Amino acid sequence: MTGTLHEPVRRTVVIVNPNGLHMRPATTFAQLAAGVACDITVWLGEKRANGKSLWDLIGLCALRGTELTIEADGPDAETTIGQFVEILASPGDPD
Amino acid sequence: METKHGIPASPGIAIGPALVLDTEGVHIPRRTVPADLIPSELARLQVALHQSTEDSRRREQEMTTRLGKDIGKIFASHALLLSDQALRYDIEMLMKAESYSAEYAVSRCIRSRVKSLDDTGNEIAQRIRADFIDVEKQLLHRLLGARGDSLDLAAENVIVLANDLTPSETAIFNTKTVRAFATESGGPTSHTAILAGALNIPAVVGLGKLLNDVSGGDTVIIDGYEGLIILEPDEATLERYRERLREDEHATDRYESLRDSEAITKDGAVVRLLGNIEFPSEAKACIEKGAGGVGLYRTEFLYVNKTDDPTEDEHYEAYREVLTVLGPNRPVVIRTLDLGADKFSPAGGAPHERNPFLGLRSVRLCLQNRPLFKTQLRAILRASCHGDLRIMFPMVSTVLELRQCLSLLREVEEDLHEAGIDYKPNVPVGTMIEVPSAAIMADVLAKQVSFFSLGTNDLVQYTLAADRNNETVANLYSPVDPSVLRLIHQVAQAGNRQGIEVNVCGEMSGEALYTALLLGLGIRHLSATPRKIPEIKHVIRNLTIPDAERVATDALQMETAREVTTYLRGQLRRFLPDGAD
Repeated sequence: MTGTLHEPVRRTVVIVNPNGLHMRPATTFAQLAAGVACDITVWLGEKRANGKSLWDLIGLCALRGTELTIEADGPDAETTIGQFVEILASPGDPD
Repeated sequence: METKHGIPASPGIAIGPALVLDTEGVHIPRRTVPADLIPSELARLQVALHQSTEDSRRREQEMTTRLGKDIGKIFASHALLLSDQALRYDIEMLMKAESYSAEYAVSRCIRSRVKSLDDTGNEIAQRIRADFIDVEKQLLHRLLGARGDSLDLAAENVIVLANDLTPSETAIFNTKTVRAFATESGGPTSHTAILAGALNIPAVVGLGKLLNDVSGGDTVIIDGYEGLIILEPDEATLERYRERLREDEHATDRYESLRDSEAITKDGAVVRLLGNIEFPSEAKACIEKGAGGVGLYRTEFLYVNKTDDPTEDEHYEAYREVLTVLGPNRPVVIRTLDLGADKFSPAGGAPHERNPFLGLRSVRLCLQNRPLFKTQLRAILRASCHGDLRIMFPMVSTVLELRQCLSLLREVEEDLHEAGIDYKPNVPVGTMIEVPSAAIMADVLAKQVSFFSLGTNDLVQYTLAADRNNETVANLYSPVDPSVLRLIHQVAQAGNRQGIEVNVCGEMSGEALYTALLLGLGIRHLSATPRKIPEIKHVIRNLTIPDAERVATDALQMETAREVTTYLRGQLRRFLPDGAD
């Protein structure tokens, strides 16, 4: 954790994909998260998931209409968080 | 420790690590391991996770190329899950906290997540579910040993456990790596069992549900005499079986000393003891075990697992090889193709049959595929120059069929003659008697051939209308059912009256229990798996023909197979006070 110089960045999104946070978007999310330097955490209320773990993300069981908070903590937090918001806020499946 | 009872298919003892094939269901027994084994379980898990990840990545690439990125992504998800640190952590925690085996922890961990997905009631949970179950299966297959590539990659000296084994699977078997096997289904004369006999390794079949209770690498004991498998044996049991293994080796030596003795009864009657073989490489074993020749050379191996039908030269080479090993003075009986249409070469595109055992198989198939049949007959005749060759037609059920075979054989002879190709004229021709209709018509058939060979496996199956592989009716299947004994007796009499040889080549001839009975019924030719020959010879040398005839007369009076079996056991103890095995 290198949060001494950077405050974690948070964004809140509502899942609009009719299928919820299912395999496909979660896979894209985890693959992307694995490639960034900062820590990515996804919160569903009190439940948290490591954004780099597909197993964790699926474990959230986030259906359509669920509000999730994405937290990015690290030097590149500010610049990278946008793409994660985009995935979760997308109405369809990402590539 | 747990002992399970099945049907003894091939005798002998084996102790070794299990290789589990085919874990169809993903049900894993609730299984814990001793705490000191947890580190090795964790290592197994790590290997399985790593291998499964690699498998999924490979599949992702293949599928992306073949079917596009959308399909490829499914496997990308699997690879991601399988390499997921959080998943691994969860599984490991279960193992450490609860002393679960790797398999059980995998299953518990994934299943509980599946359940929580199910609980959301979201229909998409179904799709996620399928992915999770798939990942679970991949891991379990890796942990328990998966069917397919695992056989040729098998470590040395494994004991193969499977629901059932197909001929193509058994064809990959190698006695260097497979020490014994046990199957959930199958009867004592299933293909699997016959193959075990041929390979000279212990086997137990018909064990019922078994695979869920064993993990790959577990030490198991196979007792092919009693038809037992012992899972997780304790040290005392292991020691007892190690001792029996040593005794076995000793007993083999005892009979081995009979190798060069004649198969002759105490009162001087000569019995011809021959070997059954499946592959050319077994010919040597026949001689080593003291067989007087090959009484049954199965030729199916030439056809199975091939994309094309075997060429005439492939046939010829396989026959010549055996004849050369056996030399000029030992007969070699070659049986023509004896396969069902369902098992026939994949190129054939056989029609679906609702009842293959009563369908287009064996000589019926050959008579409807004359080019194929003629190819084999030509090769057999050409090979006849290299030794004492005989031809045998399987599954003949009518006189007309036999006539058709004989006339086709004459046709092939004429072709060879015209082409100036060498063959031995007047090669002895025989027919198998394995369909009840043929047994009933034996007196007529006897006039057309030089020998009979009783295929008792099929004869029993067709007489009692009991599938030998169906464990629910296997109790009906007995070679000493009085109905079968009457048929054997009738066939022996018909053959002896006509002055032709009558051989028995079914499993029955390799069982010491039946030797006296068969001699008493008038049989003087027995063909058995080579391994059994020394023991059968030992029995023969302790009998007289009047002894044997009394046994047969008594048995023919009996009304049930059970009575006959019990009686024969008593008689065997009488002839061999020191035990037959």
